[in-house]
Amino acid sequence: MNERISAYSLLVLDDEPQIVKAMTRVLARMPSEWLDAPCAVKGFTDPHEALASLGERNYDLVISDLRMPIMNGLDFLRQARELQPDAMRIVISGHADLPTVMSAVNDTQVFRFIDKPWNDTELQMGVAQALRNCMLLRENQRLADVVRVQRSTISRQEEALRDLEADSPGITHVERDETGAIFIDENEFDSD
Amino acid sequence: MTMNVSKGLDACRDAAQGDDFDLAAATAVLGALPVAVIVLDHRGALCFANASAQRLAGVIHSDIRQGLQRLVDHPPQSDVADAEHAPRDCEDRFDCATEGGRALGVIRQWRVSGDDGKVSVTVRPARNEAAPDAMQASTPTSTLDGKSANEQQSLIHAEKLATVGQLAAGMAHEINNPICYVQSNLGTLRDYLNKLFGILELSDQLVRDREMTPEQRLDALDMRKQAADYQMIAEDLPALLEESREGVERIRQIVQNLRDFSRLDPTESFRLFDVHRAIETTLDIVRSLGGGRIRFATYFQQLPLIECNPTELNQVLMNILVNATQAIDDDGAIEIHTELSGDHIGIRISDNGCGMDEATRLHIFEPFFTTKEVGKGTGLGLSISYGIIQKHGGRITVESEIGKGTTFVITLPLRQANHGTEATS
Repeated sequence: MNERISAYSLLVLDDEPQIVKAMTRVLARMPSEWLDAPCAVKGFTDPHEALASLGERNYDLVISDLRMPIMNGLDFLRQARELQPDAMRIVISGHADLPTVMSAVNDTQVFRFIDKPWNDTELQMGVAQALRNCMLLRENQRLADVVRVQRSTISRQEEALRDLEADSPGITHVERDETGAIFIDENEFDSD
Repeated sequence: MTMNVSKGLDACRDAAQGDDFDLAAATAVLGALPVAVIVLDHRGALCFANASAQRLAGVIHSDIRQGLQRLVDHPPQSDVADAEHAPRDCEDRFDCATEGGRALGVIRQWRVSGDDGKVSVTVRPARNEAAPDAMQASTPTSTLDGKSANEQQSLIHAEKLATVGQLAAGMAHEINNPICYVQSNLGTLRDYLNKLFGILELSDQLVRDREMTPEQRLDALDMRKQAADYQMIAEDLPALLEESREGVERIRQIVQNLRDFSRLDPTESFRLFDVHRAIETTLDIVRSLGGGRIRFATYFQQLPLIECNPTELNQVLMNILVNATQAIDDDGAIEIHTELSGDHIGIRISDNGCGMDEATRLHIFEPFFTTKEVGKGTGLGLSISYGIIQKHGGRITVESEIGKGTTFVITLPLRQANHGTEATS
């Protein structure tokens, strides 16, 4: 994987501004051995503002609360997924019942469910894993693209070779003797 | 049957050894009777039904309460020969109930005779000697007033705690949020302190190092500061502490509100109190139940302090507000208006929730009447509220329309007639 130079971009949404700030602090002191670049966190307390930001810039990870007054966290994550399908999603919630968790996993494909109050280490670890996962997926995509491009280049070369062979048969596979001299079939010469 | 009756007699004899014949013994005797007995209050509302009456009601309708209501409204056809005991209509019953200018209860009896299920019906007025005042006041809370002060106190407290139980989930959420960030901030604080101590230790070493030039020392210290994000920590630390302090304060406030509300203090007497403060405290608790989906608006007029029992007033407000939040399905609004008119104040609490029909509205102040599921409500909240307001010499009324919402209006006098002299702020 490529060494990453720029910071990871994260979006944190919770209706409680103090929670956004506390989470930003925890992520800012992410142990460097867990992640190859620092986390740049943009915090929001208004889901609509967060969605607007998702339409403007790229994020690697979206973290959201579930129970918020203006918009349900699951609705928010669903819309976030439509806007940026490549970004990872994490839910942080203090009261998650089974149907909610199932909906989060099945409909919005969250990467992780973190309980509130969270354990700082657990949060950092979850975020680090999500970001590494995100990078792996992106790297995977990039490599797949490279392979596709290389494949198409190869097929172009093969075509050229076939044309050459059809024009002058034998030209694509030259035979040499042990001294390195080129072997020429005189019969072919004569018939020409 | 004889077994049951003798059991009832035992209870009766036990009771006779006490000072007076108490309610439990009376209930046991009535329960053992082979005759169905239904007690109505003077307005014809159901107060009590013994086991036989409940069995009879169960035959008529799967829901006992509705079965009983039907028995009262349309008693079973009595024997022709028994015509003089034929059921009287509602008017008769009401006349009976107010006989002699005094409010009375009504006892209605049926006797199931033979296999064909014919019954005789007797209507008898019964004086409630224990609480003649309460009966006159035409309150359905008469059964509560009939209980001893101790019993009533514990009933009221039980109802209070039941309300707290309904609030618990919202309350947990409300307390959880500050705990979240205070706990996390403490973790961050420890991290910051480690870094700061690191800088401190380094500067200590540097000061003792005699071989270094002042410039070298400064450079080393600056490098270490930069590595430890000293600038960021110095800026963030005051904010972190302030937010955490505020979080703990929030938790303290919630716990304080809860304790104020659930306090059992029968000795607390009437004193001068700010109604708006009572409303605000109660709203603080109820807001958590609304989970943010409900908008609360208060329209306060300038009010003088009124003479009241603050704990009890809180309980009335709490009962009405909890009901209001439960009447609202999606997002809704609750408005509270206060006004001063002469020697009374008015508190008007309106919600735009589901409202209720006329039949429900008529019964809401009756003890044990509830539209909530089993276990969700005791059916005592509003009847206790009614009693409290009554005790304050005030009035509580309700208007409601299905689909539009419900409005409770409470009027309270500024001063209590009976307690006027002992009132001190």
